[in-house]
Amino acid sequence: MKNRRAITDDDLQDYIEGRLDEAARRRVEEQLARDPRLAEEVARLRRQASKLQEFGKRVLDEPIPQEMLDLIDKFTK
Amino acid sequence: MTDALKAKIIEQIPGLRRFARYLARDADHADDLVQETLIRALGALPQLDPAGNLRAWLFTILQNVLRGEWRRRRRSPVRHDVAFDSAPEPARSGGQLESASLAELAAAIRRLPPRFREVLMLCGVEGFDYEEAAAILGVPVGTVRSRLSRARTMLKEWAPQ
Repeated sequence: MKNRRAITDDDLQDYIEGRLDEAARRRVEEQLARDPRLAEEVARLRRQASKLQEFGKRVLDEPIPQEMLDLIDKFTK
Repeated sequence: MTDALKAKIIEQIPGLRRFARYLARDADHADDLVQETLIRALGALPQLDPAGNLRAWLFTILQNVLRGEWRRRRRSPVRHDVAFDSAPEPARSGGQLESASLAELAAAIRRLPPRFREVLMLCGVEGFDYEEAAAILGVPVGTVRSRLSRARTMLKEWAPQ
């Protein structure tokens, strides 16, 4: 991998998800320190990721429909 | 089926309902799909590897149910109409809509083509890693990554926050 190759969106995504090895992570962080646009992009991706994790949480809080519980109950008899 | 397994399956239902909610026509349709998923899962329990990934297994079955519907109908079961985009589906319990920016995100996610929406839901919302999502969808990891990338780019445009 060339040292100075451009950092892609996929790299940034891997970075914020902790998928990069030590060396790659340091390379990204060096670039981030030098490039405020890139740092803003990382911030934006983090915001997007945390909104996605929040997404649809209300559905999780809905009570499980009785027919689903009944189905599982019927099966265990 | 042991009580422990029963409890573990029930634990997965909210996540399955959430995934289905954003890939189905509406909330009722989503629950029909999850019900069908449970029926199939319960029937296939003998094939379940007890040491395996129950969550991924259930999502794979749900994915198959969805795909079967798409094939049978020969069209996407998902609505793409404008009215739908501007009025995100509220949760059934409680009257409050999500905050404005989450509502914007919901609308953007609904606009995504189903193939991109499903990877975004699996990885970004349900928290599966690329390899698990690839197994659930029956596609290579590279395909998951590129679809995810496209999905995020579209979201960037439609829900820029």
